[in-house]
Amino acid sequence: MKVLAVYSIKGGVGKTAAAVNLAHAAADAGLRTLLVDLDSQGAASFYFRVRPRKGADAASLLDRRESVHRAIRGTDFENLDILPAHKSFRKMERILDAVTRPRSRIAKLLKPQRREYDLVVIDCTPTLNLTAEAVFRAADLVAVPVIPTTLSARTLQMLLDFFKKQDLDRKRLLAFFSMLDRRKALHLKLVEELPAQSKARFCRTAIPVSSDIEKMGLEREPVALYAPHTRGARAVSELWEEIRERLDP
Amino acid sequence: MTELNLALPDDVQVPDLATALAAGLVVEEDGSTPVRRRYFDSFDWRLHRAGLALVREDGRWRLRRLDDDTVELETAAGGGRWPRFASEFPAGGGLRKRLDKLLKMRAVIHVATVAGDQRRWRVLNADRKTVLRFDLTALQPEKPASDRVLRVAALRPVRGYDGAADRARAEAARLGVGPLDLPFLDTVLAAIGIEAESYSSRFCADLTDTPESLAAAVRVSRTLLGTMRRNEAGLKTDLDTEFLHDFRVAVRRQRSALTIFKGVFDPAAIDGFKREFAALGRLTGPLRDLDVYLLDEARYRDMVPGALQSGLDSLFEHLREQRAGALTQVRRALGSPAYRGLTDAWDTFLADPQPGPIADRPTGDLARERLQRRHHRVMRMGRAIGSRTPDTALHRLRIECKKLRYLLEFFASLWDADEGKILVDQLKDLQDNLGEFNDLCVQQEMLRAALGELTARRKSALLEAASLGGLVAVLNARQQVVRGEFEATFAAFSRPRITKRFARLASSAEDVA
Repeated sequence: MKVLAVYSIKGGVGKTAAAVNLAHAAADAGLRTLLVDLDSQGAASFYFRVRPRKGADAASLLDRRESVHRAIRGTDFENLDILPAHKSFRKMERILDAVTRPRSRIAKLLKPQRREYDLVVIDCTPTLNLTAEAVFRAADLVAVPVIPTTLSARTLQMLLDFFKKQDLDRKRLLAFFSMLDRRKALHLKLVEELPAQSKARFCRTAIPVSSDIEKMGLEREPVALYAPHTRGARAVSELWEEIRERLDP
Repeated sequence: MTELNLALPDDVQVPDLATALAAGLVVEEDGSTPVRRRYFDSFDWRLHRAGLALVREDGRWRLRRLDDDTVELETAAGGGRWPRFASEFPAGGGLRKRLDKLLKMRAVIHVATVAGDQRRWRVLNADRKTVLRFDLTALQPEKPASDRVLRVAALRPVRGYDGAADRARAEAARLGVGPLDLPFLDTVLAAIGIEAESYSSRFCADLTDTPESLAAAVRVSRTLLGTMRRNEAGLKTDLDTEFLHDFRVAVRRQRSALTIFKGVFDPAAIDGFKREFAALGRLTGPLRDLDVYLLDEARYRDMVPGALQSGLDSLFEHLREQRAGALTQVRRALGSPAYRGLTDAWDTFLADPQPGPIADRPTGDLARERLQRRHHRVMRMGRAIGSRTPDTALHRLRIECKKLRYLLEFFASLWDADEGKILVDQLKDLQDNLGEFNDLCVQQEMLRAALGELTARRKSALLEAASLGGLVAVLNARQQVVRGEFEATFAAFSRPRITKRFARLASSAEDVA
């Protein structure tokens, strides 16, 4: 079982769309996939129309492995299950801080899932805190969507610094450009320059800014389903191929 | 929660079922696909006996559990000819390995084909999230054909939405739709008039309602004649080796029956039958011997060192040629008027048997006396065998043990089944020892004969001779070991405790009948 975290310090960069679309692509390719929605806004859960069970709150999930097992629900897609977000996930940081060995807690909770899943995709909350670090320590690969803007480049550098400071393996970071607008000169310039300047590795594939992907909230389905032959859907599938090669699940 | 299959009574309408299973939620039909299921099993129902059904459907081989129709394992079916033996099935998904364990040397044959369609539905909650899937498969026997339509509904719960599945199950129960009470395959078989597990190579006849020996002897003989006839077709088409084997065992049992029931039929009237059944046994012997060698080919090859293994190629090639000839002979014999005449005459005789001097004797009384007599004879012969007794004595004891075994099987319905089985198991250990010893003798003889023919048949036969010689050496060594083990094996069989059990079993037969 491999663990792929999709993470960004900034919000609104297409993180959840990427997590949902990648998880769907993996399941479609035959991998038994679990999507973990750690983002308390629960957008991924919303896309799949899954609400959390009663009692599947942060405290009980972090406390007992069985509650993780019980909280998982099937999506409408073969091979794809989801651990939906619960409103209590807002308090995740405080609860995690109180447990023993908080940094390895998420890895420990995911370990028993290896019998049932080939791949776990985690949609992370966009903050750089203890929860994020626990996810980084559980992940084989951390995919980071980056909008080609100066601000986004800066937050990527912050993440690299954090990895260095916490003695995390920076090779596990894999950035990819998200919401790329080819009409903007700045976007194109950064796409050209940033991969060479940054210490982070970049994917060849960039996800374009696309009304098709934006419609996910309306359709409540992965883009490959309602707009299969669009540029957005093609980019998602190419991105998945690149990530699959790195992960080798 | 896993898939659950439900039997659908004929009077339940599809819309009513869909509404019930949705239990108040929205239900949407999801399309339908044609279904064709072809069922296979061995002639002696080895898969059915193991609670399984081998199904070819949807381009896949599936091993389904009989009780709930769920799939235990499956794999994509390859192209080409229909597989017959376990070794010819695709290896994927562990199918070949599982079948090999279940079927061994038996071939699979077509049992029935059913065809129809599968309609699928989804149950959606207020968020239009699928919380339950279900489908309805309606199938009609196609080969052999029948008008009966059999329907199975399957609930496929979605993880984390157990409530929807629980409610669906409860609502279905209110319509009279519940878990399958009869395996789906058995419902199909009932519709086309086939009885599952109707053939077994084990002898089975109920003698509790044949108080007189004559009726008992007829019942036993009829059962055996039936077995011979049922194996004829498979034997002639050479489907697998076991048709011949079962056929020969039935003939041998018949000959033993005529000895065991001695005096029950008119001795003069059955004299000719005895001779003809013996001739039938001799006639089919060579083919069976060749089958045994060829079935054991891999084992033989393992017995000689790697460098010599290729020397066995021409031996097995030669055996295969011989087998083809032997098969032609057997086919011809079974197709002959002489064979037809024998079975018809035996059939006629059994319909109106000429009684012998003890035809009226109570069956239980006869069973007791004959069991004691056979057991005493085995004991006497066994005790007389020492380390220097010639091998022929072991062969005679082997034949005697077979008769005792058949006797225990013929009268099995007259005594306690568990007690009978214990003694059969005890006897089996002794028979295994004697049987292996005999096989080793026969095999060495065959190899020596092959060795003798070698110079005449081929010039460059050095490698072959070395392999055959190596094989003889291994078999001979094993034969010494088996012979050495006889003493201990017989000692176990002749323990006073076992002897007492034989006596007790004999007397219990008298009480029953």
